[in-house]
Amino acid sequence: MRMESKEIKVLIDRYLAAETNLSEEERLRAYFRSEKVDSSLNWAKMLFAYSETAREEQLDSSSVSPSIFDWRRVAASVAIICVTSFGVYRLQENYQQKQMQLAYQQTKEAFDLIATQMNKGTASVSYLGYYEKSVSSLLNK
Amino acid sequence: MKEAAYIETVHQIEQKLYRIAKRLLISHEEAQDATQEVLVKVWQSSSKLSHVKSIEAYAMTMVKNYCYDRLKSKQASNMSIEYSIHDKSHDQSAAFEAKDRLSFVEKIVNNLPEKQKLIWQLRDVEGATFEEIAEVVQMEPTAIRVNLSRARKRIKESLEQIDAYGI
Repeated sequence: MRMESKEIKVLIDRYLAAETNLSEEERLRAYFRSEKVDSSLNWAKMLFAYSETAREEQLDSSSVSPSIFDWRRVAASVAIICVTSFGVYRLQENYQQKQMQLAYQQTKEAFDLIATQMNKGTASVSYLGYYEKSVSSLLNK
Repeated sequence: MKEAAYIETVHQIEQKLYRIAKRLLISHEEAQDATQEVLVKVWQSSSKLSHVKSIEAYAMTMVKNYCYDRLKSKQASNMSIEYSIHDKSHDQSAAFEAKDRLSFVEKIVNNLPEKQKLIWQLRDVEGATFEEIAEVVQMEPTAIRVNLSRARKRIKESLEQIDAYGI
C-alpha cells in the first residue's frame, strides 16, 4: 500500500511535468477514482474527478439540429399558438358582428326601397283616380 | 452496418468538437453554433479526406480556428474582458461562486490562458496523443509539453490554495 502511494507520487510528479504517457495517465485516473487519498493529493483527486466528468459532457441533443423538446421552445410555441388563436377568434367575432350589421343595413335598405316604390305606386294609382274623374265628367256632359 | 459505424464516428467527433468549443467559448449556445458550422464545413470537404483519423484532426483544427476567430472578434469589441483575465485572485473569487468542488475545477480550467486550456482539454479530457495535439495546435511537441505542464501545475496550485481555505 505504501509502496503504491510512493509510486503514485512519482507518477504525479511526472504528470505535472507532462512526461507521463496516456496509459500512465489512465493509471492515475483509475487510482484516484478508487482510493482514499492522502490529503496532500486532494487536488489531484479533484482534478481527475473533474476531467472524468468533462469527458462525459454531451451536446444535449444527439443530432446537430436543435431539439424540438427544449422546454423553452415548447413554451414559446404554446404561447404563440394561444395568442394567435385568441386573436383570430376575436377577429372572427368582430367580423361576424360586422357581417350581421351589414345584413341588417341591407335588409333595411331593401325595405326602404320597397316602401318608396310602393308609395310611388299608390301615388300613380291615386293619379288614376283623377284621370277617371275627369274622363267621366267629360263623358257625362 | 458500415453505415451505423460511420454515424457513430460522426457522433463521437461531434461531441468532441462541442466539448472543445465549449471549453474555449464557455457559452453552451456559442459552442453549439461552432460545432454545427464546423461539421457542415467538414462534410462539404469530406470527399478529400478518406481516413477517419484525418477527418477528426481536421475537424478539431477547424473548430479551434473558429473559436479563436470568435474570441478575437469579441476581444476587438471588448465583450470578453472577463475571460481574458488570468490572475489568481480571479480563481479565488470564482471559488465562492462555484456550486461545488467540480464546478470550481471547471472555473480554474476555464481561466487558463487559451493555449494551455486547449492543450489541457485535448490531453486530459479527450485523451489525445502528443502527435494529434501537434496536428491541431500546430506546435512543436516540446512546446506542447511545456504548455501542458504549466496548465497542470497552475490547476494544482489553485486547488491547493482552495483546499487550504477549506471550501
